[in-house]
Amino acid sequence: MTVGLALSGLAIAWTALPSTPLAAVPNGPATDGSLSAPATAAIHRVLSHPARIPVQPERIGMIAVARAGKRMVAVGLHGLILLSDDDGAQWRVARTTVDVTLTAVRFASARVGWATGHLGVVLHTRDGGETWITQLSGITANDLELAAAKEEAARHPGDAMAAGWLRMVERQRADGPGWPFLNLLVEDEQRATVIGANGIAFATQDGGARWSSISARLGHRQGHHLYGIQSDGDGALVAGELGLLLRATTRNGPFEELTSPYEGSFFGALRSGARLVLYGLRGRVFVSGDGGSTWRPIAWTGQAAFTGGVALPDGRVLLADQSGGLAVSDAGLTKLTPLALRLPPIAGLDVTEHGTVIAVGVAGPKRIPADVLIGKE
Amino acid sequence: MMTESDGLRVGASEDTLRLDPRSGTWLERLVFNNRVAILVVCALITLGLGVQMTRLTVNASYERMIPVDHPFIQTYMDNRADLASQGNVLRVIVERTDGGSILDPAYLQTVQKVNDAVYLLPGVNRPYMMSIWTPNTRWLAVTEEGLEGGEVIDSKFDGSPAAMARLRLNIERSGQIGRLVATDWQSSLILAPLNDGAGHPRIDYRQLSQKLEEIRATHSTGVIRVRVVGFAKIVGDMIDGAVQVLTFFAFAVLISMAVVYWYTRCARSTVLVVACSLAAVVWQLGLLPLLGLELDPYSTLVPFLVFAIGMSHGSQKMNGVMQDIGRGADRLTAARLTFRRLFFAGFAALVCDTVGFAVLLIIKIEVIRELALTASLGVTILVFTNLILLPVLLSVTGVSPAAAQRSLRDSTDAGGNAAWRFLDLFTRRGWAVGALAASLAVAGGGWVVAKGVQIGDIDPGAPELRRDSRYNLDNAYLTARYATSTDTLILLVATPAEKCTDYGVLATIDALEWRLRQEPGVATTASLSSFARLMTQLGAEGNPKWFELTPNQAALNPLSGTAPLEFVNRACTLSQVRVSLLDHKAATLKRVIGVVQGFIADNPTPGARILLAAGNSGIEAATNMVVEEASRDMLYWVYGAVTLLCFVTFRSWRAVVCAILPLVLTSILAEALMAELGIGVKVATLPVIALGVGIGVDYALYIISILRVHLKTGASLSTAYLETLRFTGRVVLLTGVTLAVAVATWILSPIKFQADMGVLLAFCFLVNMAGALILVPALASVLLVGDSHHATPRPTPLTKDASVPAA
Repeated sequence: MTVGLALSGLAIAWTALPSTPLAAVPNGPATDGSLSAPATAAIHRVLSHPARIPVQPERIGMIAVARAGKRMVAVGLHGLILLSDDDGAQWRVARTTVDVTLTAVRFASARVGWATGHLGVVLHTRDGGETWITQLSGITANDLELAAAKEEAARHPGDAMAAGWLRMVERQRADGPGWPFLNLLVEDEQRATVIGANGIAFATQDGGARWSSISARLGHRQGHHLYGIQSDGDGALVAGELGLLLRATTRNGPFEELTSPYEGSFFGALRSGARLVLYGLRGRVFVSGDGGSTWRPIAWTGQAAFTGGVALPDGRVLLADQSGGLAVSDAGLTKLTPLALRLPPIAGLDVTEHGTVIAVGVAGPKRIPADVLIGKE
Repeated sequence: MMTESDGLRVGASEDTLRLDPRSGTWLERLVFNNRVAILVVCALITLGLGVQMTRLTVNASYERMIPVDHPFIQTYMDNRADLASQGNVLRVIVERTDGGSILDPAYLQTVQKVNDAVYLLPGVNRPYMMSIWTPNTRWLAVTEEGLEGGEVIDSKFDGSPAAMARLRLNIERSGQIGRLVATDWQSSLILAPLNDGAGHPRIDYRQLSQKLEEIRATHSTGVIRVRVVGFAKIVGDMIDGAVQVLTFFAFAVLISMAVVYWYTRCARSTVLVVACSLAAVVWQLGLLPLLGLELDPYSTLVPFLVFAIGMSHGSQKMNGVMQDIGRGADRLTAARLTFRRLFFAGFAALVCDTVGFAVLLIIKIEVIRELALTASLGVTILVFTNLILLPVLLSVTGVSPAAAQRSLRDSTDAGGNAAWRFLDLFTRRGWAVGALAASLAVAGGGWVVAKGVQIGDIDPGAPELRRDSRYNLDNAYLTARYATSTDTLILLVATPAEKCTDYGVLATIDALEWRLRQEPGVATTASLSSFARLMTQLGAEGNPKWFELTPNQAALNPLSGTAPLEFVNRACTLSQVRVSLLDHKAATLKRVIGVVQGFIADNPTPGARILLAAGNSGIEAATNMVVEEASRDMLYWVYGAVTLLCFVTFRSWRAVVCAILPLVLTSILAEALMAELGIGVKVATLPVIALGVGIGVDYALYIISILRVHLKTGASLSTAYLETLRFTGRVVLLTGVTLAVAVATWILSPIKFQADMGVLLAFCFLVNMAGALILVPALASVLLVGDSHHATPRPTPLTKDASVPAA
């Protein structure tokens, strides 16, 4: 018997599932996939108007969290961005520009940072998260990606890969900006890389004044969502769906595909000192001490997917699963121990300047004091 | 109106002891010169309608309890076919009471048996039935190969420890914790949607409820408790309650009989009064099947009211006959004189009652209209049975001589009654002003308290039933241990065919849900839009970063075929936004409805219309709106009508004020009582306000009529009031007590709103009575004493005067 991942907690937590069974009719109405006028209007609305500020923002589902100096910044559903200046005790709402689910956030300094989201959104802040502007949206990203794909196809006539990529990009552009950026890497206040669905990635060298497609550098990985990215020396490591693992060894060099230790999906990548950690579906975790060339698994009995992770200041790694369970490693990254603490389903983690872990998920941000981070045997 | 002293002269004067059969009004001659015919006709009618009465059915209907003209309800009715699949669901919970887990072979066997029994119930939509034993309850898992699934209990299940471990895992990944399995793992439930509405045979809820009780009785053992929650059970319990309440009728009859007998000490006339009042009830109930009406939990009030009003008017007649016989008149003469004196007073009072009922017809809720109709009918019948038949019967049987002497002794014993002398104090200026000042203070206090009165139902669970009823305990268990809300507001989103999944429409729904989730009182929302988010996330291996409504039309389109029917119909023209509320307080409903209406106004979406409303909370919101509006309109109408009737009767605004002000006090205090007891203004209590005023004015009508006649003869207010009390005071007391007692039996009803009606009506009747006895003389001392010289005193010739009192 194949043991699968329990979806129950997740399904209940995000939305109430219906009590009647799914109906047996297999196909919906046979309409085409083009967007109607109201749909186009709705896309412009969510890309240009923030959502109504919620009454209890600290209880809204959050997807990711990051530290910006002394401040913690969390991003989540409906474009909501929350700020905390007291170690995660209280949260307030930042001024934002969009009404789409935000998927990741990273800061280069206490002031400058980026956030990624659905509909090809990249947001930028220069004041520590207080106010944000839209630097990229799926509409312009589609145009940029198409231009890049055409250029690539023209540069390599007869390359089936480039031609296939161009067809995919054309099709995707016709469907609208309905694909997300899923994670990002911020190297400094000028340089950032965002990765997304279906192998799409963009990068900037000038603080976001200009974003350009780097999908070609990644090797046109259509069919793979890209979930995790970590810097590694001058290069970077990207992990994604179906065990996809890519590594670039130089700053602007191409990504090469690595031998993957797992055929299932990675949901994230971490760096703890010199070691890289991958985590993902069905509670699988792998460690590499040689920049990703070789990987060893960390034994773990849990079945729920790890959806969030963070390297603690002491070098240990804390991972959170989609059912709200937490596991902490030892300093040598050889084993994982479950924490007694259980939270509502978690999607992202980061550590405050005082060592408190902030876990965000379906029920908003939660604090995990440092003294709780001792695994039970 | 002939005064008591006039009557005395009649009785004392030898030459009038026998009346000329040709004297009196045409009506009196018609009645008393054809007594045999009247008795025969009444007996035949009673017999015939008595036979009809056996065809009477007791039933409850949801539709009759809601305002079908309201736009919300119209929307609900128009889309019933698409809503039917989810609305009427039965939940049978099998609970382990010893704290053990459901992962136990014996427990699971019991669930299987209950499951099979529920499967066989009439009306169950079997393919959609769900429990941990049904094959449509499946688990789902994401693996490296994609999605996998299976039955929660499959064919390999053998009850072994290994099978139990697998069952636990399957339940965990089925997503059914909080739906089919309690969050504490101590119970599980069987979900049985019912086939109700168009295209299906009508469900006999009483029978279904009884079969559920059989299942409960069979399978509830030491460690197993069966609980049942669902609309069908509420209706079943309500019908049972209504039938049970009908048995209270016997109590009401016995108590009223005892009160009347205590008053008269004459078995003969007591039996006659009760018999005539019962005849009225028989006629009224017998007419219902002929008119195609059923008795429901609301209109079961009517027989009680008709009987009680009949008793009070019957007592008036008997009182008159007794006093006349005591004075030496023969039974026929006494009956005719009483008829002359009191027919029109009684008639006017019954007209007031009828007006009080008829005003209810303005409320567009069927049960209230039927209540108004049947009550008007019953009161009209009383004109025949208690104003005509009863005097005729008394003219045949007479009364016991001892009782007649006793009644005369009481009424002539001027100083004998301390209570009368106490009440007479209120005719003095000081006492009168004191009483009025006190009333004003009480009214002011009442006004403040009454501001707290709520619209609609306040208690959690099924408000029709008592908070501690078995049903509501079961319901409380369900809401505590399962992730199920029983207060659901459903918004409908109508689109052209196959456009339900359009991203523009779904984005609007998404924004509406976001707005609603910010609203206090909203627990959560669910819709095709949030289902789309969930499916997107599941399609991406459950990664939470994908919990988004993505504008990918090709991916959204198939949802109309795969989403549950409670979110969208198969034609893809109508989807539902289901808003789970934390309670069903009127304020919550009103605020949430206001948010939705504001959203609709601010967010016009081409190609989609957001319609209000369905779900129990939507219907309740509509009912509240109608009730709130009607509660004001109805007061204007009933007070307007009663004021007009009083003015026609008295031709004096001062007298009208004397009659109306005590009623106003009662109305205020009744509302304060409602606020204090947590009884909301709702379908059940709305009629009480009208009934309280309509019936309450009776006392004032009798007292002021007689009082003014005495005042016109030049008597002082004190003397006039004492005389009035001697003549009619006891009957007023009797009336108040019999009315209050008859409706007070309702307080024992298992149906909450019937108990509420009982409390309020009994309160209204008693306070009205006290108000009439205390405030009428007090107001009269301020207003009426100066009034008497405005009216021209006129001689009161014996034979012509009988028609004076009320009209």
